[in-house]
Amino acid sequence: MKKAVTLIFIGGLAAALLYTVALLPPMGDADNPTNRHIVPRYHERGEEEAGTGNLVAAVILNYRGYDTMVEVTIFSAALAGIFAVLGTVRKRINRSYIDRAGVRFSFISGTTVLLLMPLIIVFSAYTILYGTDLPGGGFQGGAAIGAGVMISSVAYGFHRAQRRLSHHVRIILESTAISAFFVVGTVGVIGGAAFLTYMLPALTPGSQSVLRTVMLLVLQFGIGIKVGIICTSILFALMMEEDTSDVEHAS
Amino acid sequence: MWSMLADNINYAVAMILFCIGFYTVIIRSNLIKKIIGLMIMQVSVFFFLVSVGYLDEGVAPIVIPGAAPSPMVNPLPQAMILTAIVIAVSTTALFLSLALKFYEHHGTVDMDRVKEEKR
Repeated sequence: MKKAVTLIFIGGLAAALLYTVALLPPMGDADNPTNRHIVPRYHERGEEEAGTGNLVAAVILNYRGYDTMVEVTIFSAALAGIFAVLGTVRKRINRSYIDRAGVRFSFISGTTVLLLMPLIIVFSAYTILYGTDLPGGGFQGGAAIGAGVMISSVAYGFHRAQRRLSHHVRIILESTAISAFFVVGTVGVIGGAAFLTYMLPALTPGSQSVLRTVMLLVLQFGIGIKVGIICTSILFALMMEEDTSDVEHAS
Repeated sequence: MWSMLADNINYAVAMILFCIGFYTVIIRSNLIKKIIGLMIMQVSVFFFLVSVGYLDEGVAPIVIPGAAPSPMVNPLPQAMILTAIVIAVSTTALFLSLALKFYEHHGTVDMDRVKEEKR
């Protein structure tokens, strides 16, 4: 009964949505409103105005910088929610099912992770550094860092990963993105313009574009470290277990 | 109408994915499967918005100095979805932690079973 009613409802919804899709302008047409409204400005003047050839990074960091600045705090809000639901570090013990598993440590997976880790870190640094000219940026590089920490904590056990990257270190690193935005925005205010406008005090003629690239890199690195640490913190929070009676297994 | 649907095949697939995710959220009583349905809905919205920014024979929105000017796809949806994907990860983790707490409390992630026990 429930299934039939749901199927009718979903069928009606699908029909309405598909009818609307059929009325939309054809996809990929250059005359679409989505391709005519503001995009020509991005294409023509984006590099000159934002100081980066990567127009996606230009939109994220310059045209919609405020949006991104508030967006990075949403991760912190979600992490605070996870801690509120699961309990803080003090109430939970720093080990997980991986540490209690029968196979304590696999030599093959450990060596593989050891060989992969430098490559992952170099790749993420490359992605962040070249995000101003080539595909890449803080979000992508940060996700790569987070993935690296995830595979290492799965291979080596949660206890060792937690010791390397303790809660206090993560708290400091989580504030990098908003600190970077604050620093870059304040430099704009000192330069004589509004917050987060990438205006700089003109120290020497011609230094403006170089300094702007440096500021973009500061933001990219801040966002990258933040995203990586948030991924790590979420994983650690989900892996931690409540302090129950079987403490004798903990080593 | 059918020719228009064939032109907008990406939009149509996104809508169908959305309906599949919605159906999963309503029908399944397992909390993990409900979260999977929510993620399918999220991905369908991402897919739809990225498809809106597509341009026929457009290249990636990256200005390379010295390269011949060619039509580029819309960078705005890509930038929006880039941040939205990372937010989707953190909100999904929040859902999963709620499901974990539900399991610790009830010993199951099945909503129907909890309802039966209450009767």
